[in-house]
Amino acid sequence: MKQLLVLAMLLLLSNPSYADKDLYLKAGGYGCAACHGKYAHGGNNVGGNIRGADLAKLNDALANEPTMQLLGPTLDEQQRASLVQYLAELDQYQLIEWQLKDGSNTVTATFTQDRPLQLVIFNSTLQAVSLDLTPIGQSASLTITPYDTQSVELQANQPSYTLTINQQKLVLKKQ
Amino acid sequence: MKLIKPLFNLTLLLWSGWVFADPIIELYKSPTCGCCTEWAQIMEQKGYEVKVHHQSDWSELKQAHGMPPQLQSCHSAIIDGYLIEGHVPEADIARLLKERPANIKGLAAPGMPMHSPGMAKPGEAYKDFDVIAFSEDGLSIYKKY
Repeated sequence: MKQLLVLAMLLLLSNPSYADKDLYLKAGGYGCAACHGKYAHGGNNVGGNIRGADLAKLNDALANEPTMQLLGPTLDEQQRASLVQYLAELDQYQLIEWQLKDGSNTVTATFTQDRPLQLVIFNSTLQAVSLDLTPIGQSASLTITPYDTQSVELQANQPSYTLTINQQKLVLKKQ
Repeated sequence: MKLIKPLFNLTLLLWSGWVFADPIIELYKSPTCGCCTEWAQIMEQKGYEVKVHHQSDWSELKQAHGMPPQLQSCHSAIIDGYLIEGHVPEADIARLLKERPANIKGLAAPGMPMHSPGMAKPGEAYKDFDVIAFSEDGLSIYKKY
């Protein structure tokens, strides 16, 4: 038992990299999210989509990107590896972005079934909305406050799905 | 009696300076963020005095001003009792200070809009983002770019 514990400790120490979502949201006090979006999807922010970015790309940005150079010295190797791990985890999903607007609007997106989907939904209206998730086989509903962004993950196993909030519609179709 | 006129003029001068001087901006930012400095420089060019406070966490300040967390950007500024979050253009701040609405606690340009002051290239028009006003009643669009 003691040997197993030591082995587990050694494994943990030899592989310190883990996906660090908290660091992504808080690095430097403002988080990577400030420039790259809450889900690293860009979301019309200056930094753009960085899902799947590797360590070389992160190191290069921290060394050479003028707005990121001050952040560089505050992130050690382990933290950088953990950030990259988190970006890799996000990249396992197919990203589908949906912006909720006022009035009537239909967005159509295609997906493949080889990877799970992550819907990243930005509520750009001034009213909180409640999204019924039963059309994608989830029982809970998702509330999104004004100007907030929330995500929903699903493994698509149907040829199409339709989500509706007020007069806004998202149609997902298998490619 | 001879002293009255100069004293009156001096008082008038001091009073006019107090009334017309741009207010001081108390800027709260992380020491590791470079783009906040760009925004501060634009405000200084417009005649404001910017006092920078380097901190890693000023969330209490945002809470005290009732700023909804989803409007977060990289820096916060306190100007004459209002909270200005992120890369809000100076024109909107000038309008806010002129109109002084009692039902607005502050303005925000959420996230890091690509074409906002401090992020846009010099001389480039501001576009593709909203300035949001927040209050106890909720949010409203203050200006669309």
